[in-house]
Amino acid sequence: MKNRAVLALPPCSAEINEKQFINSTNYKFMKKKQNLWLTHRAGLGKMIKIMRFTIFIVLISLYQTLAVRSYSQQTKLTLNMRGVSVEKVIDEIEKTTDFFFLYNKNVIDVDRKVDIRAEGELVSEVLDKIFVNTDISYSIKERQILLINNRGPVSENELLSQQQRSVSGKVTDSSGSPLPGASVVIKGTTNGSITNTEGVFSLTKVPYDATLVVSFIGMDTQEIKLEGKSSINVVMQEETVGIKEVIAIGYGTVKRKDLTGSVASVSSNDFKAQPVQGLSDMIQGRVAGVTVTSQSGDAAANSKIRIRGNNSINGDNSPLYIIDGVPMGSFNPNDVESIEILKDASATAIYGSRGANGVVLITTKRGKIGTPTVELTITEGFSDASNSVDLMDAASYAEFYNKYNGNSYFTQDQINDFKKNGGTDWQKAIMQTGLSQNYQASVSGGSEVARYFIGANYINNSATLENNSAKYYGIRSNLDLKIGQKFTSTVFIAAKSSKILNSGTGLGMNKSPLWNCLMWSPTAPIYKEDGSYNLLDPIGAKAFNPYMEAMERNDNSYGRNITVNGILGYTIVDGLKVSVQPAIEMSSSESRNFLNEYITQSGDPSAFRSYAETVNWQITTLLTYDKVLKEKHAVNIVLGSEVWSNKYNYFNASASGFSNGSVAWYSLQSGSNRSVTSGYSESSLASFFARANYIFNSRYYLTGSIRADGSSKFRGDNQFGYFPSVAAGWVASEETFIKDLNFFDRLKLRGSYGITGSQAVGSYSTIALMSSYDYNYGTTTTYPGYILGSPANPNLKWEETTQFDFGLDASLMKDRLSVTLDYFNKRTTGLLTARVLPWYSGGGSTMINLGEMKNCGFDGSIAYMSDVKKDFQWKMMLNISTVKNEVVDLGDLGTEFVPGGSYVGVELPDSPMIVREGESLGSFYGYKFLGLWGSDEAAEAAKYGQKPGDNRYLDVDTNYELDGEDKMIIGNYLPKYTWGFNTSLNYKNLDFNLLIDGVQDRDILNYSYMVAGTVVGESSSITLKDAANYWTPENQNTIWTPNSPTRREKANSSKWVQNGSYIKFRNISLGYTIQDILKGQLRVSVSAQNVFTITDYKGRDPEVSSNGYSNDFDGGVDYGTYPMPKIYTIGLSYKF
Amino acid sequence: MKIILYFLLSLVLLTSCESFLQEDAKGVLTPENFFNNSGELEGAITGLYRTAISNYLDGNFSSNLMGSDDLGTKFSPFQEMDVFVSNSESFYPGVFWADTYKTIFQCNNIILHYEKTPVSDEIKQQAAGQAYFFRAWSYFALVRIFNEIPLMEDVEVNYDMVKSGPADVYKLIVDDLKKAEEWLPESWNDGKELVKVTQGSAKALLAEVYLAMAGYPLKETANYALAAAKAKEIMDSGKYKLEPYAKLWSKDFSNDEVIFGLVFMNINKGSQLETCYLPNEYQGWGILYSERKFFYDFPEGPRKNATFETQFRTPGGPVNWTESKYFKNPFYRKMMASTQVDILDPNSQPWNHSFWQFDKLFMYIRYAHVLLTYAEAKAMSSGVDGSAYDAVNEIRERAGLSDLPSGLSATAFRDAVFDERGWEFAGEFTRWFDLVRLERVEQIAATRDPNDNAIPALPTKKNYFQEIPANEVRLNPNLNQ
Repeated sequence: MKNRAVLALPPCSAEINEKQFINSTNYKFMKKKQNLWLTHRAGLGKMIKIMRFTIFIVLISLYQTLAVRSYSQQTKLTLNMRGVSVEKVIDEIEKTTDFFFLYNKNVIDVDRKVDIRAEGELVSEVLDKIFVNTDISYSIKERQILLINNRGPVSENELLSQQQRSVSGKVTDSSGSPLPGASVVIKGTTNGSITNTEGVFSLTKVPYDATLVVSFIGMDTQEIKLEGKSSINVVMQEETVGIKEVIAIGYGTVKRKDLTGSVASVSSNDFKAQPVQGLSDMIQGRVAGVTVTSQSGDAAANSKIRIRGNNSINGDNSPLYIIDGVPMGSFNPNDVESIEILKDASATAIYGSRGANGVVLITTKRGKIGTPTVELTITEGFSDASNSVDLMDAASYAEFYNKYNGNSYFTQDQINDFKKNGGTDWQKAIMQTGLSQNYQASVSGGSEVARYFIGANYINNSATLENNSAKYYGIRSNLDLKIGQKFTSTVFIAAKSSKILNSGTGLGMNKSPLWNCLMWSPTAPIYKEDGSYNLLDPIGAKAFNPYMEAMERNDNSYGRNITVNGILGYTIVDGLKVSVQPAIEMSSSESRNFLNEYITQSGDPSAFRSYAETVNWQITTLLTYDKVLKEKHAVNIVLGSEVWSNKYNYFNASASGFSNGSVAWYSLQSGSNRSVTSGYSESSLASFFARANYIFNSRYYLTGSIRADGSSKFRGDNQFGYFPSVAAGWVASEETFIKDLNFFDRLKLRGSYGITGSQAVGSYSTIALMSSYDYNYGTTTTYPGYILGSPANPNLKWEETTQFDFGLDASLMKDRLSVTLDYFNKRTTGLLTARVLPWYSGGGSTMINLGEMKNCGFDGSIAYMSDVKKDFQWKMMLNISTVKNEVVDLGDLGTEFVPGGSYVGVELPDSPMIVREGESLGSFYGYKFLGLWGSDEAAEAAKYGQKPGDNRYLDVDTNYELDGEDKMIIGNYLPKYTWGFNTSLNYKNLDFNLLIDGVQDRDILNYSYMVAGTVVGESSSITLKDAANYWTPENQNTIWTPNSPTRREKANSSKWVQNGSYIKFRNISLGYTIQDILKGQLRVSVSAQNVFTITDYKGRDPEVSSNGYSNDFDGGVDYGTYPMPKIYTIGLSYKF
Repeated sequence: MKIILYFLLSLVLLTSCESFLQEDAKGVLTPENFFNNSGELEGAITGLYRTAISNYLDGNFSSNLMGSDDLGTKFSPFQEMDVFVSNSESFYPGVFWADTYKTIFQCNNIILHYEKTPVSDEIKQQAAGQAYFFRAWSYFALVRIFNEIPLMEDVEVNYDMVKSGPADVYKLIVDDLKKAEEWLPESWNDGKELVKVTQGSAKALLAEVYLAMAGYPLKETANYALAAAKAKEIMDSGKYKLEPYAKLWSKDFSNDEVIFGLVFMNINKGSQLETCYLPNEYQGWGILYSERKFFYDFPEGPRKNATFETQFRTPGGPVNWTESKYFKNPFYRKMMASTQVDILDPNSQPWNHSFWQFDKLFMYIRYAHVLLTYAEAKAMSSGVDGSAYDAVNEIRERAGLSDLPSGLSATAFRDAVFDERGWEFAGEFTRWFDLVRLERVEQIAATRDPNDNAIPALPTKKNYFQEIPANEVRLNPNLNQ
């Protein structure tokens, strides 16, 4: 118990002479106990140890509501004692009534012998008799009786009190709840006080420049300089390395130490030193078992977040995102208080049909009781994408071209001119220095009744590709209200707006400037002599002028989102609560797009405008029972129901044939060819769920949950799915044989098993559809046309993932070192898979449930934190994850399939990937490259219709044909290991943060290297520097072929598979905090992101990928992707 | 307690959630509720036209024909076919396979369901006639390129189809075209007549089909007579006539010679086929040009002048094809006219445009086909007669050539017509099929000009047809047998 306890005092009243309560080493409230125990007999027992002050508050409020009339006015005493000490009398009164006494033994003489006789008298009458003719007076407040010596000890202190003052204030926890029993002591003295039930304390005779030390068990001790303030509010923070912290789980919260599932948690403290713009910045590299991959360096790029591998072939493997309890809404980085990542089935099964890919719970900040806290953060940065593919300059390109093609296309004069004046560096031409601004502001505070958090932000990014930018505006208001004693209410309102210019330019797919710039000859100018765009690279590429394409694009998208989310809670009786959480989200997206004459292939400008609106709503009703029975049995039961609905509407209009292109989308009616489309879809979900937690003696844990989900996307018997889970935990460190080791502060073993689902199919997936396909019959009138699409599968159902998890949590060295390790094994059955149809059956694909996928692996983290009370502090966290994915069974698909979709830019009729039984998802499929045919292999090469210098591939079936039989798995893009290392050092006001992450053992199919280095697809010339070293009989040690029609350059060849492992220095930042400036705190920081990448990869960036944004069978192909920029920022943060 | 009531209420809501969980598929059309009226039937036909035409607008089809001497290329994926090294993994044959079966799929859907539309039999049959025509046309292309193919007449998912031989495929083609011939009107008058197929289209295609059946691989020579008879029906109808060359290859879409043409124009339907034929000097890709020997052998005259672009106009003056910086081959002038760039206009500046897609009429069958089919089929069935000479000489006359010498034997006459077809339809996707039909591929390949792409190994009969695309075989291994 150390020196802290919970003491309940009524609010201090002015009549009480408090000087007697301070200023004493043998400071003592109670006559018998040296410790600061609360003592009274009001039906609660003589002594109550209350660690969970929340429960205590409930009890106190119950007790207060019972006391309708003043106790002291009602209670009559009967005493008959002779020659006993005052203390004895007090004892007797305490024993027979609910009164309790507070006094300081040093100033109240309780050994004085008295006689007392009373018959049905009020306590005041009794006290008058006892203390008649003494200096002692009393004060009665409800059941509390305070004894005061009116003379008191006269000391220098009294004289000093003219210069000294009284200070009062309030101590709350981070959620704003008052902390009763917190100790507040003047630093360097023993003078102090304890907060009352409302968390309020009051001190007198406090020196002007004193420092207060505020402490509470389980919280970080704080020192506060008064500097003349007479009122302070203290917000206590949970100890950061702590198994004691409370974390969010689905439909509730739990103390970290009581977890039976696998849940990782990231708090705002973890990423506050880094400039963050979104969720991926907050969790990348910080959580074991979570893989975050940025899609591209686009200003508006999204990230791919995967929790423990890839469950589904075609379904989206993204986790479910829950913001403040609802699967909808938006948030600003600055609004986030904590993020919890639910990994195993015990944690996710409560989300049933949407939990299979893990759940990310985002909790936003709430107001704290006290004066308003204002926080302003400004981050300014610039970014640079210096990673480019190493291409030839114009002169060496011209020389190479002549040599390679055996002609003199470029004259010597031209070459000399290129040597002198250079040519066009297309990569450089389309890139720029990006700028970013991130402004965040928030104000929070509140009173007992109402607490508020209001945050706003503005982000403006111009990307490293020309003419690509994004702006975001967001605002949030979180309001907590306490309505009477039994009702609580919270309202979250968030709005966000975005404007994105030319999003998607970063994808690097076919016909993107980032792809085309690899093909255009450096000898081709950007502009013609007359100043207009050079439209054609006659020898380079069948593609748009990359610079023209980048600059002329005019594609604007606007997004708006408003979410209102409320919780109304009601405490029925102690431990039993009911709450209703309705939420609604309205979002819209709009696109305004103009293709001018330069970037339409027909030369006919066209404009496009679309508007889409989504309305989601959800109502969740929860009944929660939380109680500790007979001290050893803690029970928590949640029963709930939920309905969710989604409705989507869109229309779009387009026109071409503008006589005046400047009107663009503002006046579609001025175009001669107009078309309009609109559409609608809806889906809904209805669910029941239940969860029970049972803890015996803080040692043995048992949890079970079940959810029943009904989805509109499925039919008949498949409409409802059931998702159960069980978990158990054992705190071994509570057992004596572990305690005797004296090694672990805490050691817990846990195991879980459960089933979760995925309904990752669109609406109407069970219905075959006709789609629009209009034609004009060679006239200017468009006639409506329809075609039959792929057939549907009415028997579709959920995909189910069964997960087993075994985990261990340990903490050592006074909780400074903590280790978490989990082994998981997931089996997904009934995979929602797009079954590719033969073209004679219409082509495309139809969704079916088939087969089985397995993911297993370990994720673990180790964290260390030095003593936070010292000037020098060090924190570090290392996490490592491994995942082994295996496609176990493909059912009717046979033993393998190649996904559909064509790669026209590199002449592949379908994906260069394969899904094969017994292999991991993400396998590349193609020919094994064996080098080039040597001069001495001419005879063998001839059998393949080839000659020396041509590409040689492994002929698996040795039939002297290069056909389908010769294809094999040539790589895999899914990393086998991912890890992250985060460390921070603080020395006084200086802080340093470093975040590194890495992925190991993975491949990338580098088409950017291929298209620059060979003649393939739309690329007619070779621009890659490496490729200038091509094969000649004298130079045979190379992979680059001479000009040969029989070279058979295959895009799906291991020649283009490169090692995609990397280590990235994700964030390095240095900050300095200036205390006490303008009554606040100012932090100045500089940081650099993505500055170093250690990799063997030869493309622009091993992290990003051109494909596989939603499906994981696809991915790891570099189509000239938009590299992640290096970002350098400077930040100012001011808090007061 | 109200809260508890709400809780119970939400439980009640859930128990009646059947309607809450019912998908309301408003705004989408399903096959079950389609073909309910004439508008939907016509909509399906419109979708079919777009599907069929999309297959031809980007020049993919021509990749399969590169072995012919009238087409050469430096475009590497097309080159595989040009030098006879293509196989099941080759890209463009696979694209053509996919797109052609897409058309067949839409035809099958219409043929299976058109009857339920509550309209008159005439309207139904006119609609179905178009579906039958396109199915026949699509299978005709597939059988000539892949030879043995799955013969799908349904819209079901089927992973077990086996290949059908050319005899079975041709039987379906003939049956379909007979229905099309019976049901299609002589002409349309609904604003779509520029593109819509007619009875004449069906007859002309049928004549071509019979001619093909008479040659390799079926060699059912009895079909010569059928081909001649069908061609004669068209000639006797007087509906079509040869246009002057200047009009035929102008940017004008309507002419009296075209019997079945594909019109590419407007929003996303413009053609890149044109871009394939345009030399680099004219902002084209220069993918399709004439091989040299074919050009050298081509008889001089106004037809040759209209066929080839041998002087490329550039800002710095004309450049002869032999002096081109890019591909030193003659290009096809006759394929270059479009509404956007009128190459035929001597004042045009074809080097100065910024687009890749062109409004274009691509004449798939024109009256000249009918005349030459008649000439050859007549000679090979009942012997060379005056009508056969008349037919071929009508073509030669327009080409500025003298009449064929009289007294030729049937085979000599057939060979003369073969040459004539080559020149008349140079670059028009006809020559390759003639080479296959008459088994001349090896001979033509052996005499290729050394300045054109070198052939590593001379073709054999195996190279007459493309292999079934590997993807399709992977989905249905039966197709490998």
